[in-house]
Amino acid sequence: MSSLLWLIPALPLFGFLINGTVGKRLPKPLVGAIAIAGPAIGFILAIFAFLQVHEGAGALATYASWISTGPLKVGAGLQVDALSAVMVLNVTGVGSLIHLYSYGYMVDDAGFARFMAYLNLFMTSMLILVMGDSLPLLFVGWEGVGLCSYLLIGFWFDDLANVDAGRKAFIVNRVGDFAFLMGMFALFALAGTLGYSGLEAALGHADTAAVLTAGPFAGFTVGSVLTFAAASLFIGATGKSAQIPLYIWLPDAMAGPTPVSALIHAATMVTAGVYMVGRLDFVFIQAPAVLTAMVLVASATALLSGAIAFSQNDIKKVLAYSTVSQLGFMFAGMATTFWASGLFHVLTHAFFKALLFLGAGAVIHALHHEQDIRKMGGLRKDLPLVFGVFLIGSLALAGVPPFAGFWSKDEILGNVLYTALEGGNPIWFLSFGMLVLTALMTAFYTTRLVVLTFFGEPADPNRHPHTPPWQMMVPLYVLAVLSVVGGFALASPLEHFTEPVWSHLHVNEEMFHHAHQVALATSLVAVVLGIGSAWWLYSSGRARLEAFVDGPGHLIHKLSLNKFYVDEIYEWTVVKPTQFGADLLFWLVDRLLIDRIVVEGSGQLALALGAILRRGQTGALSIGTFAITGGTLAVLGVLLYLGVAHV
Amino acid sequence: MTDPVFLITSLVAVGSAVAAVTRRNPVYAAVWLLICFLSFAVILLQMAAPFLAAIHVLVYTGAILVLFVFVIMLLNLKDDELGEEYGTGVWAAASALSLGLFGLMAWPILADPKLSAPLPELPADFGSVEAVGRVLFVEYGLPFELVSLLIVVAMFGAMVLAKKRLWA
Amino acid sequence: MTPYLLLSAALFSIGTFGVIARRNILIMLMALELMLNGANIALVAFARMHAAANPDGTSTAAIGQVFVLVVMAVAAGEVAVGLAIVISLWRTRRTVDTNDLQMLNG
Repeated sequence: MSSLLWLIPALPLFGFLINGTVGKRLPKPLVGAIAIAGPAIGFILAIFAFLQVHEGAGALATYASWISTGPLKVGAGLQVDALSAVMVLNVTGVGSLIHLYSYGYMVDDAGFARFMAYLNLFMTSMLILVMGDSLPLLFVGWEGVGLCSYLLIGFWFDDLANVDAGRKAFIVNRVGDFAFLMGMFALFALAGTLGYSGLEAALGHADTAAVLTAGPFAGFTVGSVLTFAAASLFIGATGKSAQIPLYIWLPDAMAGPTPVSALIHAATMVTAGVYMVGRLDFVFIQAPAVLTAMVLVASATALLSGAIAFSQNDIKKVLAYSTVSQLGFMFAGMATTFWASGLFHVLTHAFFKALLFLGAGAVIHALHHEQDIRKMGGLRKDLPLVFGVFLIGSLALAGVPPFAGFWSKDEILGNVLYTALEGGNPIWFLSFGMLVLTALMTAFYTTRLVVLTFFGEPADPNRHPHTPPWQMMVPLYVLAVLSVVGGFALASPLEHFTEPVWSHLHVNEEMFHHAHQVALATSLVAVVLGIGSAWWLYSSGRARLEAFVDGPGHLIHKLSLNKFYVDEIYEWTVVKPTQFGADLLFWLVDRLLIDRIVVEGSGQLALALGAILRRGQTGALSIGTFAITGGTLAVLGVLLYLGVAHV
Repeated sequence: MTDPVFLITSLVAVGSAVAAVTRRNPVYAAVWLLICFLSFAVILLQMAAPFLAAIHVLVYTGAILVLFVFVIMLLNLKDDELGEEYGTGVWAAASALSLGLFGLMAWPILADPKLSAPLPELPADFGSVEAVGRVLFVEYGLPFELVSLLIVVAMFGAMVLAKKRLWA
Repeated sequence: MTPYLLLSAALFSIGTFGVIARRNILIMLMALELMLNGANIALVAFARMHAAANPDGTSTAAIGQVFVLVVMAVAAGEVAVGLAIVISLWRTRRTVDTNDLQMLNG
């Protein structure tokens, strides 16, 4: 199996190379077949790898030496352990379904081959990200998925707004990437290696109180450097996985085609940060301050984006903010160091959020690219099958038992509460409170979305929605099944399966049990409240809604509708000062210093010197010969005087 | 070294050289130069370079000076076409420079005792055609070829420069 | 040795005088030949000074004389090109006075 591991990321790469070069000239079904074959075969291989890991044997293969300079040695190697196996299954499985869906969704688009090629390139990058055996390889995948994200957000690049959205995603991610690199460098400075196994051996049980004597961190304790590294890595994760303060790119990323939103901006890429935290668990577990900051950031992100999702009218924007919110849940799960609960939510979220996005895509496709939910309504009758699967996804997202989301969300809530009780730290209690509130909001906006889209009367009675093709429906059915059973079927096996990677420390069984019961009760209450209030507000026309918005809900509605003015705050605190600084540099350094003084100045200097020196060029031969003879005499005289010419 | 032959020839050489560079008319200068070159040949003979002496006569008097005279005849300069010359002031300055140069060269020559040491015994064939030829063709084959290349280039260069309308 | 070298220095200096004091380009070229000959005499003189026999009786120290041959070849080439320039100058500008040739005046 190890010898075939490379095929998993390589197969989509072949697809990318074929479709990216000659895809435009191939018949569309062939392009689709090539594109789908890569992840599909990869999925089968991943199952074998998974079974092998399940039997207790991890797969590890180093193919070549990649970087070898001084103490830095990085191999091009792939590894599959429990964590990687789950991620690979998730990526290839959901990826295959979305590739199939994309065929139905994009086949009429002029850039169909290009689209499939980008998707395949994304699969390759994502698989390298989760299968690489070292941080540099993870970074290769990390940047690769960032590139694909950029390419796919701006896929319809003849609309400037899409290009701007792509650029925003890229630039915001670079901020995070910088922090990620700093974290990576810090780990290298500590451990002298970047492979996971080497890092874990060097840092897994480090003496955090020891003071470093050499290297860039001389004088600091190991623990403080680990905290620095973990904090930097987490900031890196906030970029890729859309947490405060770098989440702002993800909602705009919905400018891309809907399958992209489902695959990259919901199911796989945005969970890369969560994967990275889980992969480097031994670093984070030694930096408890970072974990506390993580849970606070994560729950604040969940709450803020959940609140923004209240009032968005674009179906994809609602789902995008919901994704940001759910990513907050995942990070909260990771922060508890019950890593499996975070991974569990990654999985269930991949199922139901991919389902919701694809369902939304089916709706958009059926309504000829209408995305405003106020102009939908009543689709229950027109698209009953889509309504069915969308409803399942919504129930899973809202956290209604026994759907998938309920299990993982409940697990995380319980773990957060347990950690709060165990440590007695008020920040954890605060985070728990915010997460419960978020669960309520999630139920609220999910219900609102379903009600506005599928219930009520059609906004336009003359519309003619067309039924999606089978290629779009099959993935929806599969994901719907997963969204139903994924929760209770995976809850306990996943924890067992990942035990070799994450063995959790002692747990106060009684307190743990108690915390989970309380969490279960509160989250159920929150869900019921959320669904109930949304149903009450939206199900019977707009009268109640308008009364609420004009009355008690005025402030929250206004804030939510304007996304809490975060973009505006960034505009004035980050973008404008940067532009001002750039202008300043442009006029002072570029225009004045370089253009005026250095470039033109050197030219003027040469001209002035030439005006003086040209007087020496008389053109008269005699003056030249006189000068040469005189000069020879002078040099000869000096040399003789100094005795140099004496033998 | 009070060889009377050398004394006379060197005096002739210096005197004719001075005369050559001070004549106004190039024809006279060429004639003085001829005398100068011939006395060179004698000096070369005295310094055990019979082959070089022969070559010197062939090349300098036979080729170079003839070329000079040929060009002078070709131009056929009238007296007013010879152009102006500098006045006494410039000549005095040039003389001072030249004398200074001579002094600077003479100083180390006179000061070095090694140069006044008696000359070594001459090998039998020193300076003969065979001796020079062996060194030239065996040890200095490549420089010799390079010099021949240089002469070819100079030949083409002279033709290109002196031709009236090259591309016509 | 010393008189030969003094003669060489004298001829070189006379040649220098001719080059710097004269304006007639033909005379300047002749003076140039004088300078080269001065150097040649020094070369021959040093060859004589270092004359020595090889074990097999042949002499190797004729290297200085070989140098002189090379200098003569260069001098011949130089004169050929120089005189060609003189002819072409005469044709285009009707002068042999170097002070009339100041087109390179900056």
